[in-house]
Amino acid sequence: MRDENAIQLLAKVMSWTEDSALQVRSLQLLADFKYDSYQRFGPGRKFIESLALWLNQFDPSDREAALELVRDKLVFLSDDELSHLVTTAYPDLVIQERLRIVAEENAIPLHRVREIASHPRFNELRIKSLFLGLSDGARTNELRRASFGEISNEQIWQAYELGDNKVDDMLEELKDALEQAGSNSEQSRFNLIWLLDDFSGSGNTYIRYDTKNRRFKGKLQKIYSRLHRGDLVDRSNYEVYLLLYVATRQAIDHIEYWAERFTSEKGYKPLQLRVLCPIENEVRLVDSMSAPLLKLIHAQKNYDERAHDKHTLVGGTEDARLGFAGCALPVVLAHNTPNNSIYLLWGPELLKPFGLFPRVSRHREF
Amino acid sequence: MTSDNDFVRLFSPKIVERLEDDTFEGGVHILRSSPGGGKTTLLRAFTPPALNAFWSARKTPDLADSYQRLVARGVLDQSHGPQLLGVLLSCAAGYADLPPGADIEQDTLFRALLDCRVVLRAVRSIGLLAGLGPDDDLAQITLSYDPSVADLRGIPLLRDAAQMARWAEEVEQNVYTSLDSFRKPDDSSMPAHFRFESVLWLQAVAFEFQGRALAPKRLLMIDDVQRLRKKQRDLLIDELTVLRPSIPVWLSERTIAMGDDDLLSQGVRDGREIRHYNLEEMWSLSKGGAQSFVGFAQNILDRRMKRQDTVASSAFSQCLRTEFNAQEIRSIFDKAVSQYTESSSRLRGRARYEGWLAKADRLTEDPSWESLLDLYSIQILLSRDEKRRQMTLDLSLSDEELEERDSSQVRGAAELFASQGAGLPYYFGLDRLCAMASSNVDELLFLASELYVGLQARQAVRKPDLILSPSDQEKLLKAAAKKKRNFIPRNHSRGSNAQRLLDAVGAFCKDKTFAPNAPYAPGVTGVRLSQQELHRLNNPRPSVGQSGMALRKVIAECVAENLLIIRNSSASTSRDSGQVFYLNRTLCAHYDLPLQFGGWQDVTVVNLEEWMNLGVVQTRRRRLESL
Repeated sequence: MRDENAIQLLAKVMSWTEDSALQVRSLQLLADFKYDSYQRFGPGRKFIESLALWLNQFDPSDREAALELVRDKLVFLSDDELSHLVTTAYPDLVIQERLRIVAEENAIPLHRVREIASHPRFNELRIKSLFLGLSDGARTNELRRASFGEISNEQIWQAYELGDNKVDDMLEELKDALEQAGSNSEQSRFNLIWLLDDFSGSGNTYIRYDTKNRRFKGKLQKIYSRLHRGDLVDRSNYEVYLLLYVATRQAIDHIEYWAERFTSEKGYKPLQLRVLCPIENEVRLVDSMSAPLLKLIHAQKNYDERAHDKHTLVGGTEDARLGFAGCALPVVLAHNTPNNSIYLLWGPELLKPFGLFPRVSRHREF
Repeated sequence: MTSDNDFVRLFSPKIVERLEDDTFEGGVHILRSSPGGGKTTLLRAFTPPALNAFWSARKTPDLADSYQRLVARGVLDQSHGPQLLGVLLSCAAGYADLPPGADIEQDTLFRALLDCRVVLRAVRSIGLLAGLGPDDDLAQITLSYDPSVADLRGIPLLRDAAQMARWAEEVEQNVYTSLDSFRKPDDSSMPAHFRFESVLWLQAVAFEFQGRALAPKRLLMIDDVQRLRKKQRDLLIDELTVLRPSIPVWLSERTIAMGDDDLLSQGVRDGREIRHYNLEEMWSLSKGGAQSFVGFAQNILDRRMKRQDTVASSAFSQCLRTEFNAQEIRSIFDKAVSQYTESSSRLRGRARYEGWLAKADRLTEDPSWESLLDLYSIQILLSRDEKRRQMTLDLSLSDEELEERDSSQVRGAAELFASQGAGLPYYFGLDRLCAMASSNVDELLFLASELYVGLQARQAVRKPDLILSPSDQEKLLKAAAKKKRNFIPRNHSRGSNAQRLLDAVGAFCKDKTFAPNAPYAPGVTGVRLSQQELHRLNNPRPSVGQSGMALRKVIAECVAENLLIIRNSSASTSRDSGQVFYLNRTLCAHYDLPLQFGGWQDVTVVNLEEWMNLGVVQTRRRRLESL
């Protein structure tokens, strides 16, 4: 739809006067700058048209609150912004961590960067770093390119479940690289494991405690089990880092608490969590919500019961009105809306009402 | 940055028309304006890519005007195309990297860098005029020289353009090599540069391509001169002037305090070899006055209107309604009448005013724009007469006397009073839009864009006509003015001080403007510092040193950003000369002031310091009234 027609549609839905229609400019600017790039809009559809159709589902009295949600509360992470985070991850976190380790191991003051960086152990740690993606949002390819050749193809993999053949290839490559670097390392095993993911809203995916079966579940539990087989990692000397490009404070607290309990109970090395862009609790739509916005989100008619299933219960809530695990986020990622955001943002297109940025679920829903 | 084709379509040729003839004569010409005044746009119009684009599109109706003006200036030839080689350099990068200091070697490096860049840009530009692409061999262009430059020491007189370009590139590399090295530059790699020889080279070289002479006219343009170090700038201007170039050399810079003394006394050596032009003053003080800027502005806005398809109109002014309909006038008129009834009650029964009041009473029966202004004019004149201290016979004032005392200034004030008292829109229409832009293209586009958004909003709500009423325009323009005022703290190094000072000046002017007898009709929009006060500003006493220095810097920055507009004020029998600092015209709309220049009030440096530090200070009269 042409922009002008979409704007007229929006004005009609909102019953705008001339004065209120002046905000078209800022909405159009947001659309051009970010929101049009949402990758799950239908073919030919753009933000303003979607906004008009989305608003049209609500009672006229609720529409201003819905627009306020979009205009003032929404946090949209564009593809470029996430790419920027990935690009900064290697120099700002990965290299800094290697510098710290070499400095501690060799009692070199941390400010003597040149001395640390020219130490053979610094290069050895580079070779002995393994990077594993935890989801398809991990952008392992971008991270590898951002390292300017410091991460080889056999040090990085887009998944955390590794087949035996893949492990053999990695170790073979590691051995060759160490020989080439003239390292006198006795073991051709990895020391630093970097687990990569783009976003965490609740942290439940990585680690959670199943009270019914009294055991830990989640990706971290699987990864630690795999690492402790001993074929891939030097069990006497290793560090595991979980590097999240974006994470909520709720997820950070959850992961730190449960990962600490999990690793200490199992006798594993503690997990080190690193987050490039934390989303603080103030962003959540619980404390600072206006009454009309609260009413909009909680109204029965603004939620489709089909949106929750058995996976929702894992997060500890009966429904997904406030998103998975009650995160109540107003967050949208350019490639998909996380289910930790409120339902009104991610509701699939086939449900009523549908979300402004409809989500594609990782689980089968229909 | 637009493409060259877009640029020529958006370029308004009226600025070429306004340029004085002598700007194309040999000598140094300094073009000044605040940011957004159109300097870079003007310079770009004379570069080879733009001239080629003008030439290619000469048959396009939209560009006929631009083409004809360039032909009239001799820049383009009807048969042979571009005749002028415009060499444009920017000082935005590179020169300030040169080390500071009074060392003669630093001057040499500066001259060498500028010389090689002029040569390199000239050679590349001539390639563009010849139609050569970036990968084509410049050796096809041959160079010959006037005997007058046989003694150049810093620039070799090579015979083909490719060799010349290679030489210039090498010199540039050598300059940077010598900057990066700790040792002194190797004398063999750096020819002597005791003067800016590139100007002499440019005026003496002739270019030939495939047997025909190229671009016999020359123009050297150096942009962003304010980005140079002060010493570099002084050296450049002084030495270029001494060289007495036979080609025009345009130096463009922001209206800014170059040194600490230049802002408030820019009347330097105007004469045969060096001339100053202020682009904003060119519009406001030239023949035709503000109307010439209106034509220029209309041209710019119409060109932009043609390049959009949201609003179906090719003329921006057609979207701005300037007449009031009966309904609009009616509601305003009712307010004005009730106000008049209240304010005139105390004069009823005084024989002196019977005639005038009777005339005013008749006006209340006729709701029209003219009656409204007449009504307010009479109130102003009544107030003036009341304030007369001389004893008068209580004879009734006649209609003739009313006519006699009425004037365009009084009517101007009446319109302003009607806007404040009865809500009559004041800031609307193309003329006032242009006045608010303070002769600055950037400000014009900012204000026009706000009106354009208003048109978009009308379209969004499907209004039958995409035309803004006077009150719509005023609402949008006042919102834009407020936005500009609120942006000041974020745009200046001393933004909060600047905002406080401007707010206080605005409040002071408003206080003077809206006195019931309108003593400075149509109003006060600036403050004046006498020479004595200017001296105090430039030489703050040690006791107020910090505050005085801060005030100088705040004023300098406000002038540089066009928030204050300087006009000289000549001496008279009752006062010495000085300088008037007028408020930016967009800000005038924020402070409800008129848009005309002219009305000002004398203030002292102490007043300004107090305003800058404390903001709006109630006048003594107001303070006493509130007790």
